[in-house]
This record gives sequence, structure tokens and C-alpha cells, in this order.
Amino acid sequence: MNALRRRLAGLLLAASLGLAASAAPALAASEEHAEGAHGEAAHGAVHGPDRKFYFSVFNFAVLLGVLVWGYRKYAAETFPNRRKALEQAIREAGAAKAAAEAQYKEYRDKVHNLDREIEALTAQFKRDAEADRDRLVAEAEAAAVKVLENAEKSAALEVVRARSELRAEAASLAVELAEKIVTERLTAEDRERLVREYVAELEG
Amino acid sequence: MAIKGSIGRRYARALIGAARDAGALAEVDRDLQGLAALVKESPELVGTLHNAAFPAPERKAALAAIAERLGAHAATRSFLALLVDKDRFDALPGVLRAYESLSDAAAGRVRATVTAAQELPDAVVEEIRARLERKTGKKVLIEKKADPAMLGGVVTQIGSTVYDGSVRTQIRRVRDQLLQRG
Repeated sequence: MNALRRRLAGLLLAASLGLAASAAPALAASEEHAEGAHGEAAHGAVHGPDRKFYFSVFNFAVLLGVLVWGYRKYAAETFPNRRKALEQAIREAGAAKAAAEAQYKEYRDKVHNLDREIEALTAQFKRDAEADRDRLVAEAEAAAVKVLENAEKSAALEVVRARSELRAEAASLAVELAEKIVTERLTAEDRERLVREYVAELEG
Repeated sequence: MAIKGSIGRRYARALIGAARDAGALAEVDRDLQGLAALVKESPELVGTLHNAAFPAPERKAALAAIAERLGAHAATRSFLALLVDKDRFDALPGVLRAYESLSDAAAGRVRATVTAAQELPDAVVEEIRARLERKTGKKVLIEKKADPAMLGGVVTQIGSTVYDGSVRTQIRRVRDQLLQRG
């Protein structure tokens, strides 16, 4: 809106300048005309001021009045707004400056306390790391103990199972061998004797 | 199986009653022994005579021919015809076993199976029978069997009682003791 007004004002100014420029030849023409009139007067009758000249002057005066009136109206609207905007900008700049100063102070304080904070953080990190290390070591030790216990149990079970299997295998081999020996060495007399013994024991 | 066994016992009791009423217990007993031997030789006989694909009159005619060959008593023939009529011929093996058991009990008999590595001489079998009869107080019917895997000795079974004197069993006992000792 302000830009439009500025443009209008510029146009009015240009128009007034143009009119002024157009009025100057008119003045010159009127002077020439006056000279001509003088000549004519010298030759004959003398006439009053040229009506066209006065009309141009009046026209120019009206235009100038319109321009002044318009410009005053534009200036009355534009300058207070511009002033307000400038005051607002100044206030904002002041606030921004204050904020920047406050932030600067904060950062300056932080920088001053940075060493202490770094030292505190380092100590905290160290304590946390030590706690983690202790916990991990404890967990690893517990896991190791458990693995060892399980390994011992498994080993004991394996030994028992191996012994049992070995014993069973040995017993089976012994039976196999005994059956083979009996088959090879059991004579007909032995068989008869076994039957006799069986019959004798049957009633007992 | 238990139901079939129950059916077999009921039919067997009915048959014994009928035979007793007819005064032909010995004849029926002999007929059933012949039938048992026949079924043992030809197990498909029971399935064939129970097969409903063959008309009942044809199956009964076949049974009559078998009974004729066995010289079966009338009570036995009637009983076999009844099994066909009632569609229970598949229960015949159970009936035979139950009859044998009931008949043995009624006659004071027990059956024993005597197994040896080699076939036993008759004298030894008779000696075993005599000792078993003294032991049980009943007449003992012995069935002989041979099992070379026993290596030596004798095994006698009466019902659920086993007298095991085989060399194989003695060796296995030694193995069990070895395993337990460890």
C-alpha cells in the first residue's frame, strides 16, 4: 500500500514537472505574443493580457494545489506509519540486543564453569565405567562358575555313563564268550547230567 | 480280545453243558481236539467259514463235510452250525482254548510245555510228568519243544509258572549280576 502511494506521489510529481515544463513555452509564447502585440500596438491598437496565458497560469496553480493537497494527505498517512515502524524496529533491535547480551553472559558464565563441569562429568563417567566394569566382572565370574559346575556335572555323568556302557559291553562280551565256550565244550554227557539235575530239582 | 475271550468262554461252557446233557463229553472232547488240530494246520479255515461273502448254507454244508470227516458227534455238529448261524465262527479259536481250559479244570488236568536244547527222551519226559503230577496233584499233559539256543538244560512252563533250568538263563543271570555289581 505504501509502495503504491509512493508511486502515485512520484507520478503526480512527474506530472507537475511536465506541466511546469509545458507552461514555460506557453509563457514564452505569451511573451512573443506580447511582443507581437507591442508591434501591433506600435502599428495600431494596444490589447490587454492574453487570456490563454492567464488560463494556463490558473490551470497550473490548480494543479499545483491538487498536488500539494495530495502530497500532504499522502505524507500525513505515510510518515506516522513509517515512524511507528521505525520505532518498532528500534525496540525489536533493542530487545534482540538485550537477548544477545543475556545469551552472551550465559555463554560466558558457562565457559567460566566449563572446566568444573568437564571435571564433574569426567568423574561421573569414571565412576560409571568402574561400576560397569565391576558388574561385568561379577557377571563373568558367576557365569564362569556356572559353566564350571555344569562341566563338572556333565563330566561326572559322562564318566558314569561310560562306566555303565563299558560294564554292559564287558558283560555282553563275557556272556557271548561263555555261550561260545559252553557250546563248544558242552558234551552229550554234560547235557544229560544237566537234565538229570533239573529233573531231580523239579520236585524239590 | 478280552470280549472275544469272554464270548469263547460262554460258548465253551454252553458246549460242555450240552455234551454233559447228551452224555457225550468224551466224544465232544475228542471232536474239539480234532478241530483244534485242524485249525492249527489251516488257520485260514476259520476266516473262510466266517466270511459272509459265502452264503450261510454253503458254509454250513462245508462244516458238515468237515464234521463228517472228523466223525463228530451230533452235539459238536449242532454247535458248529450254531456258530455259523450266530455269525460267531471267528470265535472258534477262543472257544477251543476256553473249552480246553474248562475241560482240563473239570478233569483235574494241567498242561505243561517242556522245552530242551535237544529233544528229550520219552523216559525223561515221563519222569518230568510224574514229578509235576506229584507237585501239582493233577494229571499233567506235556507238550515237548526243542530250542537249541538254550544251550543245555530244560525249561518247563505250567500256566504262568516257569521252571527254568536252561544254561542260557544261568549265563544271563551271571551277566545281570555283573551289571548290578558295578
